[in-house]
Amino acid sequence: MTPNPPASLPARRPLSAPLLLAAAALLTAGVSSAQQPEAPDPPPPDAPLEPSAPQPPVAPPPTRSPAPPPLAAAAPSTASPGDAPPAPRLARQWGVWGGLGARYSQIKSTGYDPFATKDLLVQFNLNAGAQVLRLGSFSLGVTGGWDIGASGSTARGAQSSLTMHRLWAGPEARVSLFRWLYVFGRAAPAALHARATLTDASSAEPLASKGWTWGLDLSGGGALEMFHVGNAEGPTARFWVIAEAGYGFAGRIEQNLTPRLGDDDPRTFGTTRLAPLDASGALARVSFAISLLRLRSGGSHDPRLRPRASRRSERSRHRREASRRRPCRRRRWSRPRWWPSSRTATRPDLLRRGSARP
Amino acid sequence: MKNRKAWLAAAGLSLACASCGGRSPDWDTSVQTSRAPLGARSSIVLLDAPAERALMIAVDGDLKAIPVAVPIGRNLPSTGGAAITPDGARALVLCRGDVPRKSSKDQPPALFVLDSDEQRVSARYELSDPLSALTVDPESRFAIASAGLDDSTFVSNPNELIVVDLSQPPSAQNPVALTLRSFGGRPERVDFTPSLSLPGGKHRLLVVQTDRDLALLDLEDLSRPDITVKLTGGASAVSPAGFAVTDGDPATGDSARLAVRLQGDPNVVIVDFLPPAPDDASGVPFRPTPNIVGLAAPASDLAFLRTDGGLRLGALVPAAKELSLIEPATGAVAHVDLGASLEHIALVTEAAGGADTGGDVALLWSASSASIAFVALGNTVGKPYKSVQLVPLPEPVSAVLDVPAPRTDIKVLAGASGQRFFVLDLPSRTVSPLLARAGVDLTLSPDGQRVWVTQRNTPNLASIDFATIHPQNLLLDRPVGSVLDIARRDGGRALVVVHPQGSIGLSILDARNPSLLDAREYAAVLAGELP
Repeated sequence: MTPNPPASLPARRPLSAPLLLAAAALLTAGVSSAQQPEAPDPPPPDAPLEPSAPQPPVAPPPTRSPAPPPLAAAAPSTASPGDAPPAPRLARQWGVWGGLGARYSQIKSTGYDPFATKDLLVQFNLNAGAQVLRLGSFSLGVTGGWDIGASGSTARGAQSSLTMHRLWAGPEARVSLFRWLYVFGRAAPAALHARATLTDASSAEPLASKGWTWGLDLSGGGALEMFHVGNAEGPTARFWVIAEAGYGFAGRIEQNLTPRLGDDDPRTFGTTRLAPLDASGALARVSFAISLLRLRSGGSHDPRLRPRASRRSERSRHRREASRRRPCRRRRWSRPRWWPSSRTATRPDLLRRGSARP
Repeated sequence: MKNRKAWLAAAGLSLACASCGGRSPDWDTSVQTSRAPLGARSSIVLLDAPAERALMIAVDGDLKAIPVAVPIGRNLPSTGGAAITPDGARALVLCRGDVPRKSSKDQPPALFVLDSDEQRVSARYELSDPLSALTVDPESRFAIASAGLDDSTFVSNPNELIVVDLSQPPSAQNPVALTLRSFGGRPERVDFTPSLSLPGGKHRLLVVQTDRDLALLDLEDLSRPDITVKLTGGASAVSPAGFAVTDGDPATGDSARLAVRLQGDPNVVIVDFLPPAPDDASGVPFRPTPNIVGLAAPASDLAFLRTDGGLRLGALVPAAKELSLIEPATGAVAHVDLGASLEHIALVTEAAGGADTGGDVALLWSASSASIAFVALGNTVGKPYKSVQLVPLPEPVSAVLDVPAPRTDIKVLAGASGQRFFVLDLPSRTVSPLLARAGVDLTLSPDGQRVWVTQRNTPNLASIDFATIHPQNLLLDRPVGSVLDIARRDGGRALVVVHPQGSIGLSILDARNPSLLDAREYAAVLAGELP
């Protein structure tokens, strides 16, 4: 499973249960489309690139969920204390993400012993999801995925193998600390399927057993942007490396192995009982993901996530003019701010922007 | 950047530590298929020495196996060291433990008693020494641990015996470690006698045959010293080859006696039990007194027989083709000409209808002569026997199997070639030959109704019902190692066929009506039930 990068621009968004349900239903198909509330005016162009600035608290509508308190650790707002709240601006956007990676599960169950010499199961992971809502630097998404992995060993001289599938889906809460970094937490109910086989000389056919059970992963982690492509007017694709850790709960799967016989085989085989498999245990996941973002109209109120081209035009026209005079081609990709580069380090203007790093 | 690397390194280290746990070492052990399974009354016992456990498998009414793994100790002897009590209720497993013991966590040697019906360890007797030979009392009360082939400690005492009273729980007085008084010999065979009317009351004796003498232990009071019976008065050592014992005959006033035949020696030693000498301070209430009786040639088997003239010791002398009848009190010898070299003797009086004739009926057979004989020792007029009936067979008999009750009137004679066996009906004295392929093994059912015929490492199996002598052949899908006929939970009987391939396979059939249609198969049995 891969945590999902925030593919949307943070904006205050009131909560609504019907809207939430509708959005969740849509987003399970992989795409979200949400009506954006009126966003505040963008901050001044020279606002520093810092973690999500807290929005002035606004009294929620009577029928909506209370808005979360402002982030105490956030950077001070760029608006003066006496200013009225900026007029919200309508914006529409969608955001989806997908990724692949590896899941590492610690399985201490004795039912796993016949199939591995270590208490570790490595699974390949595919995942996808979509955003449901945003609230300042906080956002909520729904993501689902499929983990598949196998382990093989010998059990008292017999070849043994265990294949485990995990289909999961659940909500994911994210908090953007920087444009290139966010942290998240997730609760993912899952359905687990395990198939065990044992190839022993006492039977011409391999012995096998399979079963389903429930699972629940509680995990948290962080995502780091590697690079992104696109600009403010078009879709933005951002590429992430994600690390996650947590604990997975799972039910027990009985492992009663019996040879797989053909339909015309008259023999009746009893079962060879192994210890039940309990896949509960610590988990870790490393993955790579891509998130796609598209603003339908309007712009972002958050200077951190506005496209670089827009910030460039607002901040330093003369610098852009100078760059036009340089015989260099247009950059099609952008480094994240934390990416080390000797060229960046030699540019005083970029060094100043880099001072906004945490 | 350094902090980020440090976090990544810490996360990787945490993951590695979390996943470094290993599995139970039992899964890395191999399965030993060379040790034959044990058939108790209502379950079979598969000894899984590498995993330090015994798998007890009972059978339900629908032929479904009910396996239960029970822990046993370490270091099971490679051969022997395990047995079923004659009543079938318990399995005894001798474990040598950790040798040598280096810490308090190391296992001591112990005798494990497994209850067949309840499928659990019912008792565990710690032993003072790691011994590897086990002898079980025919009356299922005692077990004797003695030195065996696996005993290879730095220093060992071959004359040490450990007597376990299975009817008593473990305590400071049970088991009892004994050291036999030795005149240079070491134990080679341990036997139990039935209860004997000896001076001082009823006693059961433990008879220990060494390579040069005989030692007697009073099982009723193990604190008494053992008594060594020297078998020769000369300088040359003789070895005991076998013995017979009798409780005497109250009708004729005969007392209990013990007779010993000697290896390669034409003499027979008859031991009388007399009251102790007045100056005997040992506390033993009897005094064995040996008497030597000379025969024409070495005896191959002994048995005490009832005749009209009283109790006689019957000694088979194959070289002379005769049965010598020795009057125990006087040593007088009468000779019965058999007409064939017969080596073994068994009493079949009741089954052969000789109980009301006043004398015993003996069945004689030989592994070298293709005949058997019935010797009736009833009414004797001018000769020491009533009749000798010689029955020729197509081939010699290698073994005589005693069919359990209620069919004690039948004996199964195994041919020496392995290609024939015979069902001997004692009342009618008929011998029904049955033909088989070479190398068959015969297994009697404990309920005495049938015999199972198998051929090792082939899938052939046959059942022969003693009521009809009808063989029912079955062809299994896997080679057969051994068969065990046990009681089912529903009161029926089940045949458990053990296939010694891989992690052991099983085929379970209805023993009374064997059929592959309702048989139930199992595979990788020793891979299951591990913790």
